Amino acid sequence: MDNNEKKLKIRKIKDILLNGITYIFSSFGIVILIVLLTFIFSNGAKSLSWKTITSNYYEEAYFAKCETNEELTFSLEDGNDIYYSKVWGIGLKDSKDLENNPVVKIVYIDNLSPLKNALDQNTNERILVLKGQIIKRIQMVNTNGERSIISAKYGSQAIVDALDNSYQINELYYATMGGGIRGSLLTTLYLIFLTLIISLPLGIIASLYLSQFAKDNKLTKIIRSFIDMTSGIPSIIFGLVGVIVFIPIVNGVTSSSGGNIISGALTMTIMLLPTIIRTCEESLRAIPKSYTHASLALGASQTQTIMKVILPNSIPGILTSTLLALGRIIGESAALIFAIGSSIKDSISLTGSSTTLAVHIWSVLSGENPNYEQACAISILIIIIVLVLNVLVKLVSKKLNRFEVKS
Amino acid sequence: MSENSIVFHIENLNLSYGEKHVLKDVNLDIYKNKITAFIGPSGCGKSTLLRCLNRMNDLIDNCKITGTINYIDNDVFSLNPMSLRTNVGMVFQNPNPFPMSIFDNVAYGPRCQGIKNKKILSEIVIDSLKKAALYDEISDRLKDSALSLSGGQQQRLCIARAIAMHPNVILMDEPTSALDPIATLKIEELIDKLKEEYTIVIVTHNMQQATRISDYTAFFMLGEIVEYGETSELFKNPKNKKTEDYITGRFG
Repeated sequence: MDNNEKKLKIRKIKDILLNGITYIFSSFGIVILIVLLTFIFSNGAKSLSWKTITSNYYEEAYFAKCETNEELTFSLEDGNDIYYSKVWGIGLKDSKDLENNPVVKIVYIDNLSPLKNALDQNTNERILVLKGQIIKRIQMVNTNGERSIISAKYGSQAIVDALDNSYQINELYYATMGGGIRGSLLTTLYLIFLTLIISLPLGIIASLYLSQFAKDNKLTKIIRSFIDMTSGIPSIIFGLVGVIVFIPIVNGVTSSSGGNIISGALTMTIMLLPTIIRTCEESLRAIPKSYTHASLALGASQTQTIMKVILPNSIPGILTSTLLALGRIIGESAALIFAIGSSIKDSISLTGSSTTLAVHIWSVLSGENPNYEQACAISILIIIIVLVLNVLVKLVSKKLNRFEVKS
Repeated sequence: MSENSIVFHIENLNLSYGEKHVLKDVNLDIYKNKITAFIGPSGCGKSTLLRCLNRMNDLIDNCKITGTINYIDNDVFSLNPMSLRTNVGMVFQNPNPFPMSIFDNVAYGPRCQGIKNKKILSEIVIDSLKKAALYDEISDRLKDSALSLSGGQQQRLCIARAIAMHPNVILMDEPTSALDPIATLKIEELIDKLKEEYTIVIVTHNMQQATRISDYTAFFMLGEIVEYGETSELFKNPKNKKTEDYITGRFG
């Protein structure tokens, strides 16, 4: 009796210990995830704005000239770190661009400001000076008739002081704000779209062959183990394949030179095919054999059985594999540095080199002074994209799941 | 029995899965508009023989068949399996409606044959559901998922699905073994009604069921037919000792 109770006690302690271990380990993973997300969001949230997403990476430079007369003055009070030029009717502020470099930003232009009549230095046509643009350098003639040059590094106060001393601007060098990620975002979306268009049909057909048509013999076993092996190859090797095989092919067929989105998509396709084939095969195999038998017993052909019974019912599984593929396309960087390139571009074309968001992070971090805030901002965007696509796919998959009986 | 009322004529049929000899020298005639029951202990080959009749064994690798099966003077093995199966329907042990609507389930077979006209399809569906004694229960739920039906209803749906092909023969592989007694009773009544139009071959473990519904019974053991004859005769005066032992419940 006593012995029995002792055994029970020991068993209880063992259970508690084992349960405790599972709790500790799973909470460990969750804590890491939460810390990571908090870090990314607290660092990146400030830098992430609609403007970051929609604006170009490179500044667009303009050169203008302008004159004003002595009578026109504006009564504007400095404040809120904004310095106003009474002569030119503009307000400047020391600010930071999307990549966190100090810039002098135009925050106010009076409706009567002479800068509204600025002319392009080369073409002599009217040119717009807008709020949100940044001033790089001004070359002007002051009241004493002397030429002076002032550049952005002196700060807005010095520029405003200099401006108020002159009535003629020989050269206003200003630019749109750079550092946006529109190009990389577009590349990422193009790449996702193109890769899925190529890899899904290939993967589904291959998995159909493996699950429905292939006999269980040595050859299919070899094919399967090859597929499993390919999914373990490091992605940088696929990048190499992209460089050696796909870039020359795409360059030969199209007018492109060097890495491009098409070769990137092809590289991602061969990288993703093993995963897609295996997950689709699993979902096709999960369709009960009894459906196949029922269909064949009704005089349907094998093709009809596949198209009408097996494929429609495995759509949720196929969508899951699409989701896995999506995650890898968005997250891949090593292979794409080779296959698409790492140079950030603003004008995106399928045959031109550009870079995805993940590689954008890499290039933002690999410069001389790594910009962690923008890296975090892009990470947030990536997380949001993944989240949105996840929810979308789940919704579609729920809608198409025929096994769920709606009561 | 006159010669022309024979639907299936099986002669010297031998079947083996790889090394395993499953059917041995089977000779059997199956008569038109009668219910023929196959009984016998598990693994005796009765389901295998049933699957030979509509060539479902083709799906199994390394299945070797010798001998002949004639379906109304045609060699089964030289017929196109798809057209054979439209003439010889099958109902399986577990109800296996497709995960689609009730209507689509019944319309599946005709659609595979290329019938697209909605009016004709809905005529076929309603007619088949009526014949399967299911229409009254579900007439307002044709668009619902077939998986929302009860087990017994699902099995009758599967019968309706087979009927929709206008077959001559319906093969049933233990159709009531997964159902409760009331659902079983309904299916048995249905089978009894269906024999006016169709020839039915049924595999069953339940000997009472065989006596209740069948006209002819074949008793199988270890891949051989031990005894075959009219049900009433076989159960009343079994000629073979093994049959007697089996039907009196001494083994099996």
